[in-house]
Amino acid sequence: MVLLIAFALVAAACSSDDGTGNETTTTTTVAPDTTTTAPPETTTTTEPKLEHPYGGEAIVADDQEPPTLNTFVPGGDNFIVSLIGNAYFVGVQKIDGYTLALIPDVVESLPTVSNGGVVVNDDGTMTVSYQIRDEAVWEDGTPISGDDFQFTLDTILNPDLPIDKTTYEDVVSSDAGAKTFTYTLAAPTAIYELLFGVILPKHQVEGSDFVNDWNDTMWLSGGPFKFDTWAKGEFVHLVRNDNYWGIDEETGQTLPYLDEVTFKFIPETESILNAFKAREVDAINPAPSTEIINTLQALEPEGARVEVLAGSIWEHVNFQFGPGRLDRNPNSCNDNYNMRLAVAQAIDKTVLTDEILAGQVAPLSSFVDAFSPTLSTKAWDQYSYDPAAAAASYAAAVAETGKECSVVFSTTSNNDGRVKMSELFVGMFEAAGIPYENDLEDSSLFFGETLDNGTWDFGEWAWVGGAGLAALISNYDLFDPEAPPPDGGNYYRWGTEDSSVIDDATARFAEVRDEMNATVDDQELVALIQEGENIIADNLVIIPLYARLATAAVWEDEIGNYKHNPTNGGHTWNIGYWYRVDLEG
Amino acid sequence: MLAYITRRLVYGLVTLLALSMIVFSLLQASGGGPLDRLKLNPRMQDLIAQLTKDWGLDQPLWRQYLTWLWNYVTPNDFSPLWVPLVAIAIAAGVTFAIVKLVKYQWKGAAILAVWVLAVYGAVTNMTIRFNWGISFQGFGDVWDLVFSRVGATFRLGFTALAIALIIGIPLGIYQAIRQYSFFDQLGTMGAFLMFSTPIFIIGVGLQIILALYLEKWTGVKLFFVTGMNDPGYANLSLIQRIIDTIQHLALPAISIALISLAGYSRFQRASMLEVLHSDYLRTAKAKGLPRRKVVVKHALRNAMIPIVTLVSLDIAFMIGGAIITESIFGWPGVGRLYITAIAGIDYPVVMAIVMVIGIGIVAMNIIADILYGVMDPRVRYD
Repeated sequence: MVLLIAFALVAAACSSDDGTGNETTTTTTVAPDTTTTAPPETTTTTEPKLEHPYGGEAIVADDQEPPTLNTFVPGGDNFIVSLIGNAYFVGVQKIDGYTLALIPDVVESLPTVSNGGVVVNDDGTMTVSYQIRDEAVWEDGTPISGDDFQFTLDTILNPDLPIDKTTYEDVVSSDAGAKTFTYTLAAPTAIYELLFGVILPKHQVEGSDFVNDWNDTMWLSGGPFKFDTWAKGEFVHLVRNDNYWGIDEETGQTLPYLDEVTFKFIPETESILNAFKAREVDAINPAPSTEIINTLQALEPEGARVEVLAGSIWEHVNFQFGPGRLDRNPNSCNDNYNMRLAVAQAIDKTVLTDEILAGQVAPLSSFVDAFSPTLSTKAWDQYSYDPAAAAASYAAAVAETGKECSVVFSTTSNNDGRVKMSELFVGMFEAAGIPYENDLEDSSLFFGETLDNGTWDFGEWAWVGGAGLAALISNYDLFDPEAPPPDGGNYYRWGTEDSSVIDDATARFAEVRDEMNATVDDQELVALIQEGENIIADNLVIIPLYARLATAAVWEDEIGNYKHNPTNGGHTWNIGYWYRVDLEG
Repeated sequence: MLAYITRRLVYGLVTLLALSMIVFSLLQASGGGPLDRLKLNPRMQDLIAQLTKDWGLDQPLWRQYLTWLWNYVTPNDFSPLWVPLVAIAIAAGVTFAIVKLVKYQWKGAAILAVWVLAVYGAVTNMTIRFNWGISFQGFGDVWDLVFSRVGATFRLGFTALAIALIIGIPLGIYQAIRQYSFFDQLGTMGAFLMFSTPIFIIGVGLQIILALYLEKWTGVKLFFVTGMNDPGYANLSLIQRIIDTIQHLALPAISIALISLAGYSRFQRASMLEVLHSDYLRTAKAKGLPRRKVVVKHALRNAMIPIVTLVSLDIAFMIGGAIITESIFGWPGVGRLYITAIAGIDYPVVMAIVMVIGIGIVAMNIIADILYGVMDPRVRYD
């Protein structure tokens, strides 16, 4: 038995499968050349003091491990892939964590109609032009060029590759220059904002097996760090990209400041917190809950900084308008506006946010709040919590339909917040005198079958928001009467062929959505976005509840320039700017 | 003996076939599918259709199963197998020699150790590959995915097993010899406490006490909360590597060992008591044999026999990884892969791991039965 222990330890220590691979990577800092034969300078010039120090390592912990590092293939859309990718991916745009707006990455400026980067042509097509930064190079020093954009486009459109081709397939022509790339879309659409978020290095990736060769390793970096090692189940290790072209405009220093970054994968939240407390990791963004936030905030006196923000994932309750709802609840009256109004008046959103999110954020007045709060008309503010009014609306619904209308609530049973919500609903609906029942399901069943088949009555889940108009517009597809599942995303079946509600509002919304997808003029878009928002609110297709919290914490006495980004940019959006505070001095 | 082993192997194959059918059907019947996550993106419909076809998810269930089964047992790499075969042959030879030549009572344990080494040598030098398909989460080769995690799982599992055996068996023996003493009562209470405490509590508790507070009290980092190695492990010296390994391995291994040793001590105690109260022991005592000789030579050997089954099954289950422990401590073993695969409804990975566990259990049961015969001459294979 002693042999067993000795065997295990020696095998572990001597094994080449050491979790870091066989390759030994050493990060060297290049010292100034001291072999000069010139006599020592006697001038009085002094070196400028660096505002932020170079060197050191940051360790970021996450509960997810990427299934693949290739962001283009299925599994690559996992959030952790982009969290790590912030360190080495390069593309047209990224999301500013301070303003939550899209900002240019590898291009000089984001193309718009006003700066001439987007042109709507006379033949109804739309041309988008990128000017690539002169200084932008891959980690091997090769300039990032229009050919890389063209190669990325060709790769995405390769019919043999399992890559989402939406919108890219509408490109009718393209033209690549040394530092320019221009493409023409068949019709104007604001979705162009989201294209080319990640660019491939043609000179390296061309000729490779794209689906199989880039799952465990990464192509050349165009960002501040480059890929070093992926110890499966443990960590991804990145090292400084000495050829990175980015500069900290505030200090004038070249980026990145850190020598190394390690992403550790720890599945259990409790263990992430313990690792953070033990300072084994520097930055975390755990799934937020009241307990976790309290635990983290208790560490603030010791040097931790905790950011609790409203995230871009927005929870909403909704009504099913297709025939499947009657399978779940024969007394469903979702086709009756007064019934939907009664539900809206019965729900106290403030209590929900207080109980589920410990009052850390305010309830949503509109789903637009989760994308671009400044554009929101707060369209759902017209419905306020009022049990007496809800009872009256319910009575009107019963009178109009001649049915003993009731509500059957379905959502995922393996989400604590939603279970809590279902418990709170019992009291709220009882106060309004509305017959109510909970019928929760495991998420695999709910998202796998119930959603597809439309077999729920009153449901709840979340959608993901994002920065920019394009992200906002794409969410209007979810209400498109012409797009029921399985080919479309209108799971509510509002205005679809088999819907119980087909009226002027659904017809107008379909027009608004079509117009929205065919214009790139910002002012026109905003008007359409707001009209669409009001149609959905006035007809109570859904009721937005709240945005999920986005929490992040960092040891501020160790890592500087850390700023949480609650959007899909993630808390590593500016990882090139991070520096070791403890190296200052 | 040969007929017995052949019969057991046939039973084992039937069991594995039934297991694969049941698990495959349950996975399909559990609702949802590997592409569900994509469904919530309205712009992914074309991609979903393409992947459904590529992965054969549009085929009837029986056809999917048969395709999986055929691929699972089909090698796609016939590189020479000499290292594993030599390892197994040497182990068989050494086993024969131990059975024939060694007379001392620990030969069962010696045989077990030999086979552990042989299996380790065979696995780490495995030159045969089966076509277990690709993972639905990231296109990794399932064979590579599973076996890339086996080393970590064995490292943790064997260390925990060794700790549990080294402490648990002597503890059980001592409790049996000193039945109803204060120490026996204390041991019994401790064992039940460990049994009834969820591994999650033990794991997180050890993190807090031994990693967080101990560091605060001593100012020295003795143990790490998570991970298997430091990211800079490759650059460390051998001594530093051993220290780093122990610092990372200690907490997860102790967590598993605490529960296992409770089981071993209880089992050993009961088994020892049964032997101590047997007639032949009473005769031995009556003959005036020294107490030490009675216990060590006559009682212990027979009392150890039931433990063989327990250890064999533990080793088999070890292949599946300590699912919760690996998750708590961020240990990159098979258990974590299994959990991730289940969450992602990744049929090929789930099936591969379930079958590896199944094969391990069948194999270890057969080995345990053979060891029974080695350790107890009364056992006959009819």
